[in-house]
Order: sequence, then C-alpha cells, then structure tokens
Amino acid sequence: MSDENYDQRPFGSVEFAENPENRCPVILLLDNSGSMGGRPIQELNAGLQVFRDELFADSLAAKRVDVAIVTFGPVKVEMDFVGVQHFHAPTLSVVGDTPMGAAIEQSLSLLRSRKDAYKSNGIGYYRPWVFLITDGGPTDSVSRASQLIREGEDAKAFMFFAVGVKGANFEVLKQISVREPLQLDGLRFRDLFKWLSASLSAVSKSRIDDTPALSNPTGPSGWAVAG
Amino acid sequence: MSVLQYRTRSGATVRLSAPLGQGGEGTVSSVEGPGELAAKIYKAGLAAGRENKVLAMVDARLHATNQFVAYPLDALFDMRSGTFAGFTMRKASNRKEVHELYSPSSRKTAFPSATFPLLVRAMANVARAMASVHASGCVVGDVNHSVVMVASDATITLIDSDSFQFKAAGKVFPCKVGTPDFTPPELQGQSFEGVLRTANHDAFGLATLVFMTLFMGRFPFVGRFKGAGDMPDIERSIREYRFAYSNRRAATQMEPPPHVPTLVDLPLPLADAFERAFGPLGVSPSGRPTASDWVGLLDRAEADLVKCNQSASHHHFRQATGCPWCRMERGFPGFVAFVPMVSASTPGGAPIDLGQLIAAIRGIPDPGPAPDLAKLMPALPNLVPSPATKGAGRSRVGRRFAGVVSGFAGVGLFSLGGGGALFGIIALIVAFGLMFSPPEIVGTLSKAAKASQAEWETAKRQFELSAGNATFLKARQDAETLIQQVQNLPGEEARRVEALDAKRRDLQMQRHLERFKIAQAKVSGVGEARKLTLRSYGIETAADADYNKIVAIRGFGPATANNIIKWRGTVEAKFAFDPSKPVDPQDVAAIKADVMKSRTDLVQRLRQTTADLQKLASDVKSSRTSPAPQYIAAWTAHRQAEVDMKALNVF
Repeated sequence: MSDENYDQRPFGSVEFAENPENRCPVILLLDNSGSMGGRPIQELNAGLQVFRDELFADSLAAKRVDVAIVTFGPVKVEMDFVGVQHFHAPTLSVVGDTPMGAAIEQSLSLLRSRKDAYKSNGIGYYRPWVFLITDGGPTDSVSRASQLIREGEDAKAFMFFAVGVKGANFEVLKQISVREPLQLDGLRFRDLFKWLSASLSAVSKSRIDDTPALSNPTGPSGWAVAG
Repeated sequence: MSVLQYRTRSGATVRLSAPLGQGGEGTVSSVEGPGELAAKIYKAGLAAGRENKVLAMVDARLHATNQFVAYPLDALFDMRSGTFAGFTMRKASNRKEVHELYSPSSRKTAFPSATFPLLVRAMANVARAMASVHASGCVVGDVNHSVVMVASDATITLIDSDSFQFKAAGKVFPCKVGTPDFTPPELQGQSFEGVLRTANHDAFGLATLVFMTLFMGRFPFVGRFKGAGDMPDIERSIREYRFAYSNRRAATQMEPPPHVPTLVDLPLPLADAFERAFGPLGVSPSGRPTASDWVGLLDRAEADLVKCNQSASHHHFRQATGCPWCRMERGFPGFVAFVPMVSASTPGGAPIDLGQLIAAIRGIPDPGPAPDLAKLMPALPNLVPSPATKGAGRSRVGRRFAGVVSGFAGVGLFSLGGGGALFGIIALIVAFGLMFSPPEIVGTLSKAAKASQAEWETAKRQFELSAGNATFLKARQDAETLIQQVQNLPGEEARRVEALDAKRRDLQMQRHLERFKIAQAKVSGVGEARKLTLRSYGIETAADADYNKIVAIRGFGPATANNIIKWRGTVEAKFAFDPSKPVDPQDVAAIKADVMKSRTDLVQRLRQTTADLQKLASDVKSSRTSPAPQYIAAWTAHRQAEVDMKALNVF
C-alpha cells in the first residue's frame, strides 16, 4: 500500500461467494399509479408471485437471475437486486402519478451499480433486461430517459422492453423503446410473467441449439396483442 | 402425454411411469419394472430427425462400453403407428446436476456432506467417463452444467448421449448444440452446423467443469479486468484467452476475483494443466490435457489433500498457502465453504416431524443487531504520545524560532529599500513558510493517523457483518418462505387434482382426437406430400390440427387450413363424453409424485436451514463475546493515533 492510498478495502459480499454463477440481471419497472387501482394491481401482484415461483422452480435459473423492482408513482426502489433464491415478491399498492422518465433513469443507475458490484466481486453477467409495464403516459419528461435507452441499446449494455396495459400511451412508448412496445392482452399479467420467467430461464442457460428459445408473445396462446 | 406405452424394435412393450424431467427436446420418464431404466420421448416433430442417429447408436452397442454414460439401449416406437418416438437408457437415479455440486449455495442442500476431497473425486470420475466416451470414438460436444449427473458418493453419469457426435460406418452423426460458457475459443461465436467436434474441444469443457468445482463455482474467465473500458463479455473473454487466474497477466489483463483461491493453492501439475487448457496453446490439435490426463492429474492430486488445522470441514492441497477456505470465509463474513458436520446439534437427533422442524426454526432466537464495537474494546488508559511526536514538537519549536528570526531579518532588509527590499520579501516568505507549514514528521504522523482511522472504520464494518444479525434475518426470511411453500403443498395437490377432474372432458376429447390420424384421413386438398409435411411439423392427429400452426407452414394457405379444421370438426362431432370414466389414475399419480418430490426437497432444505441458522446465531454470539485480535489491534492503533494528534496540536 502506498502512502497516499487510503482506499477502503471492502469485504466481499457473501451473496457472491455463496453463489458465483454468471448473472442475468432483470429490472421490473412497474407502474403503480392511481389508474392501476383495483383488478389491474391485483393481477400484477399475482403475476409477480407467478414470476417468482416459476424461476424458483428452475434450480439453475434461480441461481442466475437477479431481480430488482422499481415502481413509479412516485419513483421508488421497491427492491434492490436480489437473487431469485432470496426473492420475496412484494405486494404493490397504488399511489400517485406516473413519473416514467425519472423511474427509467433511476433504474438504469441501479443497473449500473449492480454491474459494478459484479465487476468488483468478479462475477460474470449476461446482457441485462429492463422490463417496463405501464398503463398510462409519463407525467414528466422522458427525453433524457429515451436517450439513455438508445445509448444503452447501441452499446449492448442492456435490453429494454416496454409493455403497455390498455390505456397506455403507445406513442410515447414507441419513442422511448428501441424495440416495438407490446400491448398486454386484457389483464393477462400471469401469462406475461410466465413468459418472462421462461425466457429468462432460457437466456440464463445461454445454450445454442435448434429448439426455439423464446415463444412469440403475440402468438395464439401469448399474452400480448399486436399493437 | 397420453400414450404411456411404446414398443421396442423386438416388439416388447415398454410402459412409462412418472416423468423425471422435461427438456427442450422432450420428456424423460421412468420405465416401469425392475432394470432401473428411463426413456426419453422426443417432442412431436423432433423424433423423425433423430431416428437414424439413435438407431445407429443402439446398433453400435455403445451402452456396453461404459455403464456411467446413459447411451441409448433400445429404440422406442409408437404402439399404433410404429413411428420412431424415443429410446430407453439407464436411469441416473439419485443423481443431481453438477451445478448443484459446484455452486456453494446449492451444495449446502443438494450435497450437504460433500467435502473438498469428494469434489476432487467426482471430477476424476467425470474425466473417467469422458475418457471412455472418447475411446469409443464419440465426442460429447455439448459439455455443460447439467450434462453430468452426480451421486452423493461422487460417482457420476453422463446424460444427453443422443446429442453426442458419433461415427458409424464412415458416417458422422454430428452434435449441433453447445453451451457458450463451455465452448473452446476456436469454436466461439460459430454455428455448430458442419463443424467436426474433437476430443480436444471437449477437453476445454472438461477443464472448465473441473475448475469450477475446485474453485467454489467460479467461472475461469471472470475476474477483475485491469484493461481500459468495460470488462469483455464471457464469450469474448474465452475467445481472447483471458483466463483470469493465469500467470500471463500482461496478456490477459485479468486478475482473479477477490478473496478466492488461486492457482498457487493447487499442486503445480494441476495449475499447469489449467494454463494449457485455457491458454492459446490449447487450440492446436491435442493441445489441451486430455480426459485421461485429467484422470491421472486428479488421482495424484488426491494424495496431496490435507486437513485444515482450523476447521474440521475444510480440506485443501498441501501446496496451498494456508487454508484457502478459511481465507474465503474471512474475506466474505457469513460465508460457509463446506457444511460443518451437523452432529447432535439438536437433542435427540434431527426432528423428523414437520411441525417440530418449523418450531425448531422459529425457536432459534434472533441475536439482534451488533453492539458498538468501541464499547467492547479495552479502555487503554495508559496511552502516551509516541516518541515521534516529541521530535515533531521539538522540530516545530525550532522552525518557529527560525521563522521569527527570518521574519525580523526580512523586515530589516525591506526597510533598507532598493535591492535589499527584494531579499526582504524573500526572507518574509521563508518566514511564513517556516511559521505555518508543518514539519515533515507532522505530515507523516497525520497520514498514519488517517490510515489508522480508515482501518478502524473497516474493522467496525467487518464487525457489523460478522456480529450483526443481517445474514441471520435474511436466512430466517428464506426459511419462512420455505415453510409457507411446504404448508401450501396439500392445497396445491388438491387444486391440481380438482383441475384434472374439471378437465376430464377435455382430456377425454384429447384422447379421442388423438385416435384420428391425418395420414388416414380424407381431407380435400391434402395429399400424401402435404400429409408428410404436416407430420414433419408434428401435426399427426386431429388433436394437433391447429389453424395457426398450419398456416405457419410454408405452402399451407387459409383454404387448406380451413379444410383440415373442418375435418377436425367432424371428428369432434363423433365424440361422446363418458362421465363414468374416472380421471386417469396415472395423471393423479403423476401429480402426487410431483408434490411429494417438492415436499422432500423443501424438507431437506428446511433441515439444512435449521443447521445454518443455529450456526449463524452461534457464530454471531461468539464474535461478540471474544472480539478477534485484529479488532483490538485496529482499536489500539486508532486510539494511539488520536493521542498522538492531540499531542501535536498542543505545541
């Protein structure tokens, strides 16, 4: 140690010692603004439970998928990154407005610090997923958020998916997401989360083979309808 | 799903019982009867493409070459149509996927009694099985985290043999699949189509498995990246030979992750073997240590294993610089490398009753948050300023005196005016410098004080990690989730059986539709060629006839699809629901077996959690009652520095 070096010497995080598998981080960016009240929020909560149960049942995916939940209305880190083995699906309730832009910025910075934690603990990772679900339109500016998403997608730093529940502002979703936004069929949150967990299970195994990895969510038994 | 009987080539009937697992390609189930056999049945549409390869593997009698590889024993055919459906093989009973062994978090529950020597032995056994595969002219191809099934006695079985590359009578049946993490640099990023896989390719995957198992599940190509920019992704790291533990640091620009073992902790021949397997030299034909090389290396390495003199559950290689597992447990407070033997931790042995188990878990008291470390530290009333501070004091007095003299001289010279004024200003600057800048020794001491402050802060944080209850609470929350899951199982079983009953009509209909083959049907616009195409897409019976599936096939338009759906309608019209027919007992049994499996698994995890919680609580308590000497050392250094700084300010 040189004279000038007073850097803190951190202890390793036990979660990475216990489980050094390569990680597949996913952020769920969920709209819990007032308009989600009633059945929609109930179905969303049920969907989160399904998501957890399905991933938990796959012993390898359970070690590889790291989940964080950011809700907006107002922006709140509901749950910082946690492995599926320690993931307890929260029960969300509805609150105020829809600051989507701020929520996106917040979750991208959460993602950045998670990546730093992987790096300093010597943990490999696959391209992260950011999964936005909303039933409205932003009540703040999304111009910076859109730019961050574009840059991140270009640099292959993450993949951003937007799902609109009926009533969502698809014009804005198209603006911010590089990928075509999807429209949820009714309130089929459970099917959506089933699909998401199956996709993440497949991605986290990163196998190259001749079976189709992801089923098309707009297919006949899918959860989405073509926008 | 509904057909649970198949015919072998010799005409014998094979009955399947509970499914063991589902994969991308099909379902593996137990075969009824003695013999410990399993059967893989391909998904509709995939079987036809596998028929020739599986038949050739059966004919080659590969299964006679090694009983630890689940080669096809016999091909299976549909009872009615006689089409190829799958094959039988030896069952890998009581075995778990290898990632459950190498990953510390899964090992705790899946292999609670596994020690480091067992890990070494298991890998030697993997090498033995792979060496025999190579000796029979096959290549595994898709080495990965679940192709190896491990038993608790360290024996292993290689599965997925139908994806192996296999040569027979001059024809190569290729392996078209792979897993990037285990794929050698020379094949990274390529399609496996038309690639001839070699034993040297397998050797890369084998070395990766061995490495991960000996290094607590760490992946060899992930470490701390010292180069500019982002850490390269895993596939690029492999392609660029960035083995993070390598001695070729200038080239790899990687360092091992913090606190984990390194190549220094291995016998030299093992360390060399990893360097060769992961470095650029491995690419040349037979450049990597072969599977049979690994057998020798690992067998010899077993003789180098010694017990750790600190912890009974730790073993390491004689060559290691101290016990690597003790080092890791210090580096990651709360981490347990190997499960300590749980013996008589609960009076009367481990509770078997679930209620007792839950009570035992909830009965372990929460140790509460960590106390203030400073309060646990000795008072140290007799600390005196260290000798260095006296020197600093003296030199500061001397400097001030020189400063005053210089100041007077400066004022005197300045007042002379002319050239003297310039010297006067210089003398004044020197005077200020001498008066107010601290002497060098003061700088050194205050730096040391800052350093000891930082050390003390680090010590406090470590103490909070090891003596606090955060890990305990997290483990208890996990336990509560498990309890909830196990308590939900009876309800889940009832719900699923009920759903089965509600679906009775659907199931009967399904079976009815399955009896009508498209091949034997007269559908306008669908001739023999089209029927063949439909079959190759897995559309064989009325049950498979789905509009969306049909129009997705090239050359099938809405008109043809409508005709097929119309035919399906006529078949449906012939169906009569029979309410007296009970739910298929096979289906109920499958649900019960599935629920039982979950229960056994959950109870096993709960047992382990009980032991974990007890250990966490007792570790926390013991680190509070007897704080480790390094805390006292950090505390003493910190207090000494405070006394010293105070002494300096007096002057």
